[in-house]
Amino acid sequence: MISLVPLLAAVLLASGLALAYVIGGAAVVAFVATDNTRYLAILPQQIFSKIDVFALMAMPLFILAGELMNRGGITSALINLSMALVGRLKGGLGHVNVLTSVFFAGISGSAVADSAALSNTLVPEMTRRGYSLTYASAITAASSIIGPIVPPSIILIFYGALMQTSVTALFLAGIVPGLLLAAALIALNAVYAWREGHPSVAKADMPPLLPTLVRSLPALSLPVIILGGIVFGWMTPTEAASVAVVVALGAGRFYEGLTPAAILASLQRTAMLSGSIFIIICAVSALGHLGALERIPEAISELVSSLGLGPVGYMLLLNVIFILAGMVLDIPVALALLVPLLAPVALEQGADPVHLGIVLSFNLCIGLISPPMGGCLLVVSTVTGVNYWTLAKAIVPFVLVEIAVLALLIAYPQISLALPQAFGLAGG
Amino acid sequence: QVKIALDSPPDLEGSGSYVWAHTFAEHLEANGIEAEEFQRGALGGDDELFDQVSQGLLEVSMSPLNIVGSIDKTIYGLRLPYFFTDMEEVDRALDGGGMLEKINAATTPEGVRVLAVDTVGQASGIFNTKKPIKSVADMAGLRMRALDESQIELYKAWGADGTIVSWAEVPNALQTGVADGYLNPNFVPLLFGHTDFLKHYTDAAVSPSLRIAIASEDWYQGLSDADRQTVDDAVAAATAANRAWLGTQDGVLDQLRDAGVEIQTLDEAARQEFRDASAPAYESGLLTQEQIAEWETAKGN
Amino acid sequence: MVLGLDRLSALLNTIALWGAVLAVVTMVGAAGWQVIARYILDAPPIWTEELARRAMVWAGMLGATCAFRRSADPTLFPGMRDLQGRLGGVLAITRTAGVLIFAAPVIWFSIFDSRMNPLRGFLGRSLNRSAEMLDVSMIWFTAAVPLAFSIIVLHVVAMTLLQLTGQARPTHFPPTTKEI
Ligand code: NA
Ligand code: NA
Repeated sequence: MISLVPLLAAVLLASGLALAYVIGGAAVVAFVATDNTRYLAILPQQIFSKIDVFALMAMPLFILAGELMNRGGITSALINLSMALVGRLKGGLGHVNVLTSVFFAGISGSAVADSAALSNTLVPEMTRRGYSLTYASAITAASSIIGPIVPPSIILIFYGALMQTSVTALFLAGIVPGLLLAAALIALNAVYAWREGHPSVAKADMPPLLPTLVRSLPALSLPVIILGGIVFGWMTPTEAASVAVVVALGAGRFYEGLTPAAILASLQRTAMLSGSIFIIICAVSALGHLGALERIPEAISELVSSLGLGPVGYMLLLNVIFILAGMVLDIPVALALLVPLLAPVALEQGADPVHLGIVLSFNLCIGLISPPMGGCLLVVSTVTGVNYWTLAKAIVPFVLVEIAVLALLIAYPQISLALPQAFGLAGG
Repeated sequence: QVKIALDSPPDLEGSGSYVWAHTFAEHLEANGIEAEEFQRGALGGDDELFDQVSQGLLEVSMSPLNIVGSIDKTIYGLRLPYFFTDMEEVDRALDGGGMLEKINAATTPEGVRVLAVDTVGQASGIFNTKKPIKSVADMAGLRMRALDESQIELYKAWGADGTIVSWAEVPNALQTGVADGYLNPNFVPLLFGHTDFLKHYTDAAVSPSLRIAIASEDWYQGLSDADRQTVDDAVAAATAANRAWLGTQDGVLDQLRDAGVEIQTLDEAARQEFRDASAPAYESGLLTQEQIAEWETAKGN
Repeated sequence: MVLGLDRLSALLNTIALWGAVLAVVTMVGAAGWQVIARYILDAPPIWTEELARRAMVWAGMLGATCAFRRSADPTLFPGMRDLQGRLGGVLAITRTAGVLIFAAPVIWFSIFDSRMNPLRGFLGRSLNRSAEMLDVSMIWFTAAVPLAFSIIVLHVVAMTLLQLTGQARPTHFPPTTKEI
């Protein structure tokens, strides 16, 4: 009877039904198949409790702040600032691409939004100045994943809510790995620039530093407010997110891109995106309860120890699973489905919950730019018109560099933990 | 088979709640009733467990007081500051004084029976990051983390301020001054690693540190007479073990000291001062004057 | 009849979208007020956190219905929804069945409890419980769950009937969850 459940899930999946409803439907059938039908009576309370969660609140608020910022026309201000800072270097526009993603990361942190925005603006600019379309597209996709690592990050908020880990600690822990990632990509870009003779930006084309800086200040104030507010304790992440919304509204007025219609559209998209995530949480919570009744987490824990996977072996396995998940599944689905199931075992083996959160987010993000199915690759190739498989091939060196950064992060947890520990927010 | 949802790590030395749950389970097992413990969080959070119990889908759950407080506020009498001198008095009010019965009169129609009240540590005291508190006057200028409105009232009555902070954000709030301290049993900062920044503890013994064991009323009433007797005996054994465990908790203060927390003990005059200053908390509106009078009568029983 | 159902579905969608927007605004307002009250008025309010959190539940559940109607939830094989004809019909019915299997127990057990006792379901039970800091019954917040699932059921039935009668309206938007 229980063997029917995967079959049903496959049929529902193939019918084009959204993942949340596939999981929810399969969970309900699994309750019936395992003779736990009467426990379905707690489904409504379960769903309510899993979304009525304090730690989740920062999520819709940061989504809204990011939406408002992106609609407000800040992209050009951030590109100009990056240009003024690193444009004169050899391979300047490549550096600009990476640096803009760092600035973007401090504002919202959606890898896909970042890659779509820069594919529209910076990639044409790069091709005009002698970069190949393929290379411009590849570095855009590769650097977009800085977004979710550097705070604020929806992925980290979601992980924090799932694992009851301090979002503040996670945010602090993401800073250094995110910057390290940026540094590694800048180094790779420098190598390419030297090998392929990529130009620097001509002096005549440089935006003037001071006016550019002034113009980008409202946008840059956001990460300062968010990080400063949280780190120095003026506010909780949720409160910081609400302040971010207000600042984004103000910045949007400044850049004159934020019409009432754009504000309404931002609110609507925030509600729908939150809704999509919530319905995933609802569905997975049903499955999770059945798992608890049937003691699946204990079984996984035993399986892992019977396989003789030590902490290192299990961590490597987790990395592979999460990179694959990032390639195939949308990130919220991957997080909701896999984190509660697989992360507790790693904690039992002595992993730090904050460090684990950064590592797993890193994995999912690498999945986004990994051929054959990465989501960011798809967006960039759609927008820039570069052939998907050409892009997939061109991005391989970038992915390898990012995996090297990830390996460094796993080998030296202090890269992520030093900062939260300095503020007393993570275990020593 | 009886499912028991735990609310703490399975630690017989550190957790009074686990002592209760485990003794209860062992007694059932020894008398032919199968019992199974579920790790904290496995079957859901407090609200979900309450919901499962009320529908008869979970037999027993270790829960916080406020989970039944959302149905009827009588149980908040157990949180009144300086109302009980010790656990013996608590037990007298609950059992001899009939308060447990009174609480259950309101909760059993909702499908939930409060089996017992368990203690999780010595009476709560005042932790803070800033200064030693030796008297009520020292409370001035502190912003204390509060659970609810009635606790804010209590802090105000002491001359301090209160602010609601969710537990997840407490470490950050304490380090950054969003809050300066909290009212909790002495083991709490040790368990949650807050001793790095909570440097002062005042053993003010404000109120007993309590949680409850709740059971499904449908399950309880559906038991055979013999089985119900076994359950009642298990409750008695668990409660006795829990009270005995409390006697082993004197070492916690030393652990706090070892962790670098400076400890203040109040002399009788200072204690009386806190007691007197707490009077306004009896008028916070959380409990009616009739309910307080009921507790008063039950306690004197 | 089918078109009437679709119009009802569209109307509910409009109402839900505005409700969700209102809930998001409430959430921003409550969380923002908490900061202002703490630092400017120095009077920490006790109800802001709970209000913001409960508003989030409404925003999310109503938002979920809107995302469903736009087919904007993450889907592994979204192309299957474009198939027309007999196969398309079979797939549409399959999708409807999947949604119903998930939604039915949520809606049913909001009304009935585990012993088929009406009034003792999720809604009935939460009617008797009060919120933490706000002095209202929990049903004001818990109702979001069964309501959203009911709206989703109505949407899926309307969508499927439209497709079966060959009047399928243009559907899906790219999943918004790509943006986290
Ligand atoms: Na970010
Ligand atoms: Na970029």
